[in-house]
Amino acid sequence: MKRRTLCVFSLLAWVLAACTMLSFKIEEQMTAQVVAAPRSAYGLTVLPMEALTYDETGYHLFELVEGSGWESGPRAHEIDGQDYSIIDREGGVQQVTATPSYNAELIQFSSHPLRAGEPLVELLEQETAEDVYLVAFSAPVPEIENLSPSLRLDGRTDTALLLSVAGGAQPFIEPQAKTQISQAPVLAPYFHPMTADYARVYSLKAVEQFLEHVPRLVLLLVMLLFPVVLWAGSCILFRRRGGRGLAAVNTALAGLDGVCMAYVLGGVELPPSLLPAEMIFDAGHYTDTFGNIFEALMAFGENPLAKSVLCAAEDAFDRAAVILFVGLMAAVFVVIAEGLLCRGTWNKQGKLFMTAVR
Amino acid sequence: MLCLAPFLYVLANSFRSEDGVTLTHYYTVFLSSPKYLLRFWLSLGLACCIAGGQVIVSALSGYGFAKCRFKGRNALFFALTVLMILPLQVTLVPTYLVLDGLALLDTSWALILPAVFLPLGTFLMAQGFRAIPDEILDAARLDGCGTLAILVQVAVPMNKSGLVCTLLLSFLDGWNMVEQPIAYLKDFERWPLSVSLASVLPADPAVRLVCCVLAILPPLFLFLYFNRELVEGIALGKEM
Repeated sequence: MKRRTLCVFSLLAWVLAACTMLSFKIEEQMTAQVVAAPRSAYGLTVLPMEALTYDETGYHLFELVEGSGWESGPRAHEIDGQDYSIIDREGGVQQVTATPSYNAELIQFSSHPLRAGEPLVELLEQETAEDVYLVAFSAPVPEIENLSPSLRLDGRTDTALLLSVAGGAQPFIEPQAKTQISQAPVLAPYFHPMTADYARVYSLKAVEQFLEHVPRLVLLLVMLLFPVVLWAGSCILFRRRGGRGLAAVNTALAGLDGVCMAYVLGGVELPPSLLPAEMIFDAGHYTDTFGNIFEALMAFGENPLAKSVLCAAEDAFDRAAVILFVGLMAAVFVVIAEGLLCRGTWNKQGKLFMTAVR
Repeated sequence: MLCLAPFLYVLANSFRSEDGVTLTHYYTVFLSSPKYLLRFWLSLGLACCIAGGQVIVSALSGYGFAKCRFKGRNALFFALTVLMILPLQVTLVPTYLVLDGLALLDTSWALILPAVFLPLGTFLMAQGFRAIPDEILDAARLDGCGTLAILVQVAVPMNKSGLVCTLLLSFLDGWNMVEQPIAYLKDFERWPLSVSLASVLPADPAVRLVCCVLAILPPLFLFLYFNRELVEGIALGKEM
């Protein structure tokens, strides 16, 4: 009973410790990054249409407020529909006018669609860097006219565009990029909140950043599974001679693995634009997103920008596969070696015993 | 079955959502944010400190009451028994005043120190040590053991069931404490899981159930691991 209890709860303890470490990083990565609108002296703030999100319940506009208790820190608070309005400007451009609550700031752009009460991180200053935007349309691409001077058309297929930008805001936020691109009037209808899925904008710099982290994420997975394999070995070997000593060694190895895992986790920085809105392990989101991206890039053929991303993807997945194989084999090897060590000790005892009887 | 029904209800509904069976709530508690697990580790640390401290203090004082002869021993033990049966609410305010005088309010020591010196552990250990024959202790003394060596190497191993009972009860006391954190701690961040669970938003009833599953784990481990000693302790108490 004691042995079985210790076996089960030692695994639970590892799971809880690993979850604690992971939850810090997941919370950091999944916290929505927002750009607040500058406060207007007259109280009324004008926002681009990309500040709104649209779903089956209608339009949503959020402001940044301070929470308390369990919900402490900056939080998203939805503004009542009566407190903002959509206005039509010249040239068919639509904007949003709204008045924020006292001590709150209106959210202009967010890295993913927000939910009321969601924790936020406000980006006070954004860096700029060279970037390439992949604009993937669900319909044939229209003829582009009057593109913003900061954008340069580098590639075009039937359903996608490649736009180079000299000073792309970092981190990449899709609604912010859409605001920049929709200055070309012909593209504005594709970026309206009601038709947000008609055109998606991805940053190739963000895609490369994600791909660079794929081997590291697989290494993390291996480091999570390594103590589980050791645990299984310890439970099997516990009854054998020397098994308790090996269990202690495995516990120390698991502790060391935990420390290394914390170090590897510290270096993980995934681009928020490619992460799901709710659950970081949403496999469907990654399949859809990267499926769209790679499908659009492969259509560009020999375009150097597209090709470099596809090569980076191939390289990342190859390295990840090697890490997964080597890591799991190492864990199995350690357990087999421990098993042989235990058997050798027992046999030694058996031999000694037989010598004494003779 | 009636006793198990609440646990089964908690477990079953922790997996349930509007869309059916889901692990979303477990993701929310274990992975989406460290706040729940940090409370868990804080509560575990507090309960372990309380249990460890009380076992040490109870073993020392229980042995003194059981095997040492000194003036006023019986009166002191009687006073200890009376203190033991007083409800917590009676001693809450005096303890608050003492902690305020020691400048320990709003610190973890405000929860640990009063719990370490609770009289129940001393009472249980004293009862256990009384059952040890004096001849064994005399034999150890003749072999050259001092008082501390007799306590650690002879008396405590013979009173394992009493030790386990004290450990379990003091751990549960520390794990389930509610009034003391509310009275002695102003900072919400220092509240253990037992108290802060009550403030999880009503919009998350399933998340609260998952937190209950999390809160069950340490007591469950202790009961399963020390099951044999616990039964022996109860049987020993019956015989006495």
